[in-house]
Amino acid sequence: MVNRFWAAYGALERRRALWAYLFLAPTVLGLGIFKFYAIARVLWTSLFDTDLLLGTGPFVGLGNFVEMFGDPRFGQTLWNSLVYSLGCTFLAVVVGIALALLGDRHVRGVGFFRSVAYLPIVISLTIVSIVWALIYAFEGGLLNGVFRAVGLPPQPFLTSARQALPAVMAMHIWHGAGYYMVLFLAGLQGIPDVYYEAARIDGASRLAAFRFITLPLLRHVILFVVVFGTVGYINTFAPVYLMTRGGPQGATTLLSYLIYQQVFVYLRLGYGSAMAVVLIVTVLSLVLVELRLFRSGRDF
Amino acid sequence: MQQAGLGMAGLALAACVPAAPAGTATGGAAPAAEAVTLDMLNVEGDEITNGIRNELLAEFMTANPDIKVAETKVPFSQYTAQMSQAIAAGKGVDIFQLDPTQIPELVFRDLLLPVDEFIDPAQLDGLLDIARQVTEYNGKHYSMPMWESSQVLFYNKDLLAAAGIEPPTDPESRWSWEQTLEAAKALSQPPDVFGLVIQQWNRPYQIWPLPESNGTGSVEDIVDPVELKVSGLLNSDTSVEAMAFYGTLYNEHGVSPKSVVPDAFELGKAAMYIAITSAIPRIKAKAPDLPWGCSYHPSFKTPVTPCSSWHIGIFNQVKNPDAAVKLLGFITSPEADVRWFERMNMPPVYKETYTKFPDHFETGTVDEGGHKISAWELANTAVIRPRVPGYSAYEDLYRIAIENIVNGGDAKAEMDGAAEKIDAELARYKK
Repeated sequence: MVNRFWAAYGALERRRALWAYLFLAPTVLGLGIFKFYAIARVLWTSLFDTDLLLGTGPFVGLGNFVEMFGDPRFGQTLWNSLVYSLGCTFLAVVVGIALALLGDRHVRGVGFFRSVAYLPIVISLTIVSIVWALIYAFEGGLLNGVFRAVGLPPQPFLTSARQALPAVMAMHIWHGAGYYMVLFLAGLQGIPDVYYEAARIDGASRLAAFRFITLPLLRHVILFVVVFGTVGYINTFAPVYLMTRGGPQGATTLLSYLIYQQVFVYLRLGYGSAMAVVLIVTVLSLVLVELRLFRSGRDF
Repeated sequence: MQQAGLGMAGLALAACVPAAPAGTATGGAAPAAEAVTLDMLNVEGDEITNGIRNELLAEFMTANPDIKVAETKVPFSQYTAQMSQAIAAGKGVDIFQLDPTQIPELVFRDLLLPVDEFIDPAQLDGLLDIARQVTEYNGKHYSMPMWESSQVLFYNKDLLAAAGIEPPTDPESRWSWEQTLEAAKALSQPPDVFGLVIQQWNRPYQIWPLPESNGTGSVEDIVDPVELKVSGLLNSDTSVEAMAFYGTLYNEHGVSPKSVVPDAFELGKAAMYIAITSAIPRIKAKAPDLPWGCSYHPSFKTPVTPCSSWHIGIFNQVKNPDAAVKLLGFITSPEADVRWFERMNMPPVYKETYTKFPDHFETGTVDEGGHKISAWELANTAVIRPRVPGYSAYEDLYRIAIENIVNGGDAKAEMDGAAEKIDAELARYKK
């Protein structure tokens, strides 16, 4: 009797498992083909001096990697990418939390404020990049028009090696800030008011409440934004392609753009694949470090 | 009536179709065993260009009901990448628009069909010498030109008259670059008016003539054809001197804008504008009241001007070569050349077209003599760009150096850096 029960239970479990696998299959298949196979293919291609148009090339082992790390352009690009990704992520967290705090107030017009803050993200980054290139233009640009109107000297936002990267970063943060605001807003509204009431009774200042209640309780949201932002920002391509083409003096060349340039302009698929491997390793390393930094024994 | 007109034009163009490959079916509208589809890749053009091309393709399909052309248009900035992807995929493109500088790169990889045996020799002989020169590589012809190009100096008559400046009216008295700078300085009132705007300010196509004009050498010297290197040439003293001068237009003297000012000339924000003659219909359409004139391209020691434009080539693995060759001949025929010139104002590629428009090319009594100037430059001062495999890397790295110089970079350092990087890229093509 007992054996029959377990046999029937086992059959049921197997049927359930079968259904689960069936439902998972499309996703696993998609991930397998478009992610894991693609990554494996990139790894394999990076070992050859593959020509884009011919699709073939001699085996060079780690030759592409040796060449890459000996190329000062690559070093500069890797540094630019780290600055861009980590800088944008940090500022996205700061601006996102600031906007969320403003949008969390129960005052008249807060809905309008949230809508306006969220608005940029609904516009394509491509269009935003083109528009901001016009805003930043040295001649006839909106920003420099304002500068001239108030007696300030015009700035070479996109044509100065010092200003170009921060200028592109500012545009990108502006574009995504509303999205992060919504995430932080959801996090803020999930914090019970009783914590703040208890803090007030204990005489805690607003700053102290923010430091010891808000920030710790937003940890999961911050972690999500940090990981999501790091991965997203380090893969930035369109703004650089459309606004600066990686210049001036390589100041805005990011890894994605350099890979594009090597593969589609110089036709070096193997070399570009080696750069893509470094990009994957860099992203994984950054995310692992971030997960480690945000690891905590306590949970809320 | 209009349709009948188009049909007649189509038949007229079909009559100019070149000889088909030996052993293949020929004849304009003769039905084939089964309909074939040609995949064509083109650069997305402006309204005029797209309009003419659409007409030509429609007429071709009317005249050849057994051939269907499936056209894909790609924006200029993404064209090379898209073309590379389509070719790399080994399918998806049979016939495509290409810059003739890409011919060596594609031939090196055996990806381009030589057209010598398919194209009527008379059609090749009818081309301008400079246009024919760029279709040829290693003794074979690989493409047919759609248009030529030449750069002229447009000027705002009111602004120059107000400054008491008279531009040269004949090629012998053309301004030197130094004289052009002096005129630009007198005309500049930034940010309202810039003395000189250069249309393709960052492209080697338009900028290389400065070093060459300064004595850097002829096109054969730009890239050493044996060693495949540019060091010592691209960064020679004369080249660096010319590029340093170019940088001063944007920095020290500030007579040229560091960022693109859309329609600067049409809006009266540019006193002088060095541009291609296809700017003429745009200027006339956007600024019908603007008083403008045309003069000759400036030079240093020797007059040198850019030339050449888009061609059509056929993928070596084309599924239906005879159909593709028919289309190639049709869209680049002398009759199509007339139509391209009449409405688009790019310099024609066939000698006979020049004789059909004496007002434009002989007397210069229309369009302020702009077409007469471009014809003169094409015959006397035009230089082709280097023809080497690896040109796309050369062009991109040179472009970066030009942009850096415009943005204040040191010309010597930039040209040395570019030469070193280009040498490294070209080394991959040494056999």
